[in-house]
Amino acid sequence: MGALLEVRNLKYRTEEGKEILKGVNLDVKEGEIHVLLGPNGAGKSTLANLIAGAGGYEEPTEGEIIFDGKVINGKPLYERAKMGLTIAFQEPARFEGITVEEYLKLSARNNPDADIEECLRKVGLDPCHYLHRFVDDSLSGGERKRIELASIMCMKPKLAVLDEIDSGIDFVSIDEIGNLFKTMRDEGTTLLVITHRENIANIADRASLLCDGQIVETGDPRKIIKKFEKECLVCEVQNPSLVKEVKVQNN
Amino acid sequence: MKLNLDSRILQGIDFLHKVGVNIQPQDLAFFVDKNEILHKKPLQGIKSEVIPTEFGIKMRTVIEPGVKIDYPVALCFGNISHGGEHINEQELIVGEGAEVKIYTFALIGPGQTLHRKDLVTVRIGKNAKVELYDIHYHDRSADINFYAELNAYLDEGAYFYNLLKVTDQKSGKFRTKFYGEVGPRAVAVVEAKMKATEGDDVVVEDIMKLVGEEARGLSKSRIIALDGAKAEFIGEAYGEAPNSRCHIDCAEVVKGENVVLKNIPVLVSTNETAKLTHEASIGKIDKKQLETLMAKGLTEDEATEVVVQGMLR
Ligand SMILES: Nc1ncnc2c1ncn2[C@@H]1O[C@H](COP(=O)(O)OP(=O)(O)OP(=O)(O)O)[C@@H](O)[C@H]1O
Ligand SMILES: [Mg+2]
Repeated sequence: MGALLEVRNLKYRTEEGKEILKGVNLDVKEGEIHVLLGPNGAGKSTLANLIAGAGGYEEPTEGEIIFDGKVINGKPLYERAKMGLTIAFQEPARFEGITVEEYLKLSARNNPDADIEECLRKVGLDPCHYLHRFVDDSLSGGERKRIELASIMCMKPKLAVLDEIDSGIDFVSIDEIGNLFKTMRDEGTTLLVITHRENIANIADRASLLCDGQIVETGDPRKIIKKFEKECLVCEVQNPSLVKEVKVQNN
Repeated sequence: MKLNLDSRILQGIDFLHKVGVNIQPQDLAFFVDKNEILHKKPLQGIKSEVIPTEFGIKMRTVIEPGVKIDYPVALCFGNISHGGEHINEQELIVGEGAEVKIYTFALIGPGQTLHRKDLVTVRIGKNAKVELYDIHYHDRSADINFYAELNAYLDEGAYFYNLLKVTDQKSGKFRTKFYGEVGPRAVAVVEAKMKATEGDDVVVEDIMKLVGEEARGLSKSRIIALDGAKAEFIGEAYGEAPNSRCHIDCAEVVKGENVVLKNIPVLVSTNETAKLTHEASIGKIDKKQLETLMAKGLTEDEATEVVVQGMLR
């Protein structure tokens, strides 16, 4: 299948002149789970925000983002969402006075077929206990992330960018989340998944490695994981503290 | 022109429906239009005396020790056909171990020029539990100057919850002052939800005195200020007793221009084991909240409305 998302030579420089993305090229094919790996600070969240048009990252410094055949540079977040492109943030916001049910209904506004309770069940939350709770500070980090995942399922977008949605969720349920990603894919949502977890990366159809603001390789997830472990985790540019630690241990 | 009795009650019910209170005339325990008592029904377990005065009413309500009122008590204090000077004085005395949940509705009809004072005192006995919901309807066409004072005295182990809600139409010039004296192991929770629109001037003042060992207080206010509104919050906590705790949490959100907001927390501790905290914010709606909703396809205006409605709920 063709690319649903094409990122062409994307550059992003902050106002202070710091270059965060240095010419990213990335294709996400329709119907795939594409995992984006990379060390802390590589620019994964910046890339995710640029793709979604969030966090003040509507316009890249250079380059093009093409979604569903259209250049979307400069389009506001909600317009991209209406086109079928959404993002789950690394830290989704919390809301006073809004119930889980209302939140999921808002998410399902353009998907009348959504079964809210079923979406909750799929993320491992019992609707009886959660529908009427508020999406506020009373939820644990893991619960909030699960609700975000349920909201994406309710929305059923063409492409969902998931920025570390698995962090904060118990380790035992990671396999469960991998299966969920597969279900979402099979139901028609293409996924770009940012993660640090190998077992999530393992279920991907393809993976890319982002390092120092550039995609260094795209391909078979197992190969990319190996490269990530072998090269990135010991790279002095991206992980000076870790390298130092390793060196001390080796000595 | 004077309306007949029933139609004023029906008008009041209509106002309540407008602010989302789904109530029927038969659910009302009491309805007064300034100093004209239009309806009063005897309530099981509750002794209540009402005296009309020149400018309003004086009401004294007593719940005997151990009596648990298992239905919500709904009282309407309206200005349906009377404006001018209006003063209500109310005293609520709840005996040891008693429990009650009371809704008071302040209903201000159209076209009034009103100067109203509600002076309420609540005395809550040992281990008694009182919930008080004060919900307002102020018609947009009324010219309102409102002062609402609530004094609460909590005996050992008592629980008091108060919610003040002025979130529809307009607030007018509105000043509310809560004063609470919280006894040993007693808990006082006061919440204010206010919306200030063009020309409104809202002041919310909460004073919590923790006078008993392990007393707990929480003051939580949410104020939304739209174009051309003024709002001020003053929160004072006095930790006078050992191991007493109080938290003041006030968020004032601006939606529009020419808004003036003030937020003044005061924490005074006279006991080294007391712990007082406050959380105050003034400003626009959190960008992250808006973006989380906009990622679902809501426009910025729609997202703003969802966040505001949630805060005022
Ligand atoms: N507005 C900004 N101004 C300056 N530096 C920024 C800004 N935004 C991001 N950065 C920097 O850009 C780099 C990339 O950040 P980004 O959040 O995209 O990394 P990441 O790959 O998502 O990391 P993590 O794995 O920790 O989530 C980091 O070094 C970060 O500190
Ligand atoms: Mg990140």
